[in-house]
Amino acid sequence: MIAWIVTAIMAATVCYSVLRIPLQVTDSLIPMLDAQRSSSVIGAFASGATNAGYFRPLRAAQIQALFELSNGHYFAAYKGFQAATVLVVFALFLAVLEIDSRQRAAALLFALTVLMGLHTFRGTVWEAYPVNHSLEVVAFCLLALLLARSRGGRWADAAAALTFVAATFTVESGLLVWVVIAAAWLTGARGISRRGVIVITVLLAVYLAMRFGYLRTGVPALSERSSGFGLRQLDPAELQRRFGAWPYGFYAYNVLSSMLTVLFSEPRAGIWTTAAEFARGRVAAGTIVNIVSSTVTTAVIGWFAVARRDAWTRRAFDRDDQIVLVSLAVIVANAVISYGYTKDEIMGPAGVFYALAACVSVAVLLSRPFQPASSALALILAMTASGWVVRTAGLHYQMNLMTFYDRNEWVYVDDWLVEQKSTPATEAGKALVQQLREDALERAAVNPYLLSPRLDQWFR
Amino acid sequence: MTSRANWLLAAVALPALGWVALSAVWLVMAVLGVPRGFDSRTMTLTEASAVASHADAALLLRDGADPNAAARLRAGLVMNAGTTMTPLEAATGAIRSGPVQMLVDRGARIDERNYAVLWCGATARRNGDMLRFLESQRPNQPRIDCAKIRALW
Repeated sequence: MIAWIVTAIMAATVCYSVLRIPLQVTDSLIPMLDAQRSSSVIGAFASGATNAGYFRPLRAAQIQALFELSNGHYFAAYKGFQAATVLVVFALFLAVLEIDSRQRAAALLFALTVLMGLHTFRGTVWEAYPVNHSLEVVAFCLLALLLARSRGGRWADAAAALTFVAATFTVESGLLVWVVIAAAWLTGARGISRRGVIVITVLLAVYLAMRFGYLRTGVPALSERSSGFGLRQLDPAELQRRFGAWPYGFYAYNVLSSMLTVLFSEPRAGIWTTAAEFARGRVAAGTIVNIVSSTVTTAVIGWFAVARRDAWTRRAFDRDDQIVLVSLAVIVANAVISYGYTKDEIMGPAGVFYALAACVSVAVLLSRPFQPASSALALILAMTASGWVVRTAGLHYQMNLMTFYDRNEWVYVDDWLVEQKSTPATEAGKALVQQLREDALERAAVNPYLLSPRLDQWFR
Repeated sequence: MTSRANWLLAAVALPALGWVALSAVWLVMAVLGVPRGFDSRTMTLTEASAVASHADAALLLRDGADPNAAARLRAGLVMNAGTTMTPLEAATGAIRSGPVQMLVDRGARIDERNYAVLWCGATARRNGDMLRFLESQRPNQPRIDCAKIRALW
C-alpha cells in the first residue's frame, strides 16, 4: 500500500509538470490541423499507414479520435490523455516490480528517482505530439513484461498479441514489445505461452513484410534531421556530406552512444558533454552528478549480473533475473533500432527498463549479509541516491523551462506556420490556431529568471 | 536484521523519501495556488522584456501596454534593487533573447535620444543579441562614450 502511495505521489508530480506545459507548436499543431481536415478516424488510420518513411496508423487514429472527442477542449483532451498515460506507466512499473519486502520497498524509492531522473525520461514524458507515442511505447513494453510474468492463459496470449499490434501500429519503437516478450520467454517467463510467442513472432514478420515490402515506407534518411556526433550537433547537410557515402560507421556510433547514454549518462544525444564542457572551460556540477550517479547504479547492475552468472549459465532464472535480463535486452535493442540518429528521448523505453534493473539489483544488494565494507557502501549508496534525487528535481526544472519556451513559441506561431508552408487556408483552421495560441498564452508559467541561475548548472 | 543493515536501507531510501515528502508538500501548495508571486502574469511590460518573456509581453501589448512607458522593474529580476525603466531599456538586461523586435513593431522608439543609453546598457550586460539588434538600428551618431552616458545597470 505504501509503495502505491509513494508511486502515486511521484506520478502526480510528473502529471502536474506535464499539465503546465502548453500543447507545443512544433510536432503538435500540424497534426491537429491535419485532424481538423480529416474526415474520420479510419481515414486518419489509412493516412498514417502510408506516410513516407513512417508507419504510424494508430498514432494518427488516436490524434483524430481525441480531436473529435475533445469537443473543442483540445488541451484537456490531449494533455488529459498524456497525464493518464503517465499514471499507467508508473502503475505498470510498480506492478512489474512486485514489492514484497523492506529491501524491495527501499529499492523502489531509489528506482523511482532513477526512472524520473534519467535524462531519457524527460524527453519521453514532456512532449505532446499531440499524443505522446513515446510514453505509450513504454507502457506497452511494461504491459508486455507484466503479461509475460503473469500466470498466463489464452487471455494473456491474446493480450500480448494485441499489445504488440497496438505498439507497432503506433510508432516504430513498438517493436521493442517483441523484444520484451522474446527475452522474457527465453529467461523462463511463461505467462505468454510458446504458441503465443510464435504468433507474435509471425506478426512481427508480417509487420516487417508489410512495411518494407507492401507499403514500401522505407526508413528515415540521413538528410531528415540533425544528430549529435563527437563534440557537437551536425545538421542534415553535414551528415550527408560526411556519412552519405558510407553511413554504417555513423550508425554504429549512434548505437553505441545510445547504449552508453542510458548506462552512464554520457554521451548526451550523441555529444560528449563532459569533453565539450571541459573544452569551454568548466564542467557543470550537474554533468558530474549525472555521470557519477549513473555509473554507480550501472556498477550495481553489473555486480548483480556477475553474482548471478553461474545460475544464468545453468539457465536457472528467478523473477529478478528475468527483469534484469529483459531490461538489458531492451537497452541493447532500443539502441539498435535507434541507429539512424541519436536523441535522448528515443531511448525512453531503455531508460525505464534500466530503472527496473536498478531496483532489482539494489534490492538484492540490500538483502546480502552485512559485510565489513558496508559502511563505505552505505555512504556510496547514499550519495548516489541523493544524486538521483537532484536529477529528479531537474526533471521538473527542465519541464518548467519547456513550459516557458513553448509558451513563447506560440507568440510567433503565424511566422512558424509560414516557414513550414502550413498556414491554414480555412477559417476553421485559423480559428483553431488562434484558440490554441490564446490558450497557451493565458497559462501561467514560472519564468526561469525568477529562479536561481545556478540551477542551470545543477540540472543538466 | 542488524542495525547496520538498516543503515544500508536508510542510505538507499532516505534521500528519495525526503523527495517524496517535498513532492507531497509541493502538490498541496500547487492545489492551493501558492506561491502566487511566481506567476509571470503579474509582470509589467518592462519586467516581461527584462526576463525575455515573449508571451507575457505579447499579452500586455495586446491589452494596451505602452511600449515606450517607463514601468516597475521589481527587485531581484535583473538587479537586487527595484527600479523604473522603459521596456527597451529593460531588454538590454535580458540574458536570453528578449522581445525587442516585437516592442519595436508595436511602436517602441529607438532614436538618437535613447540609442546611446540602450547601447551602453547592452554593453554593460554583454547582451550580444541586443547589441546586434541595435547595430542594425544605429542612427547617424558619433562614437558612443559609455562613461558619459546614463548607466542602466
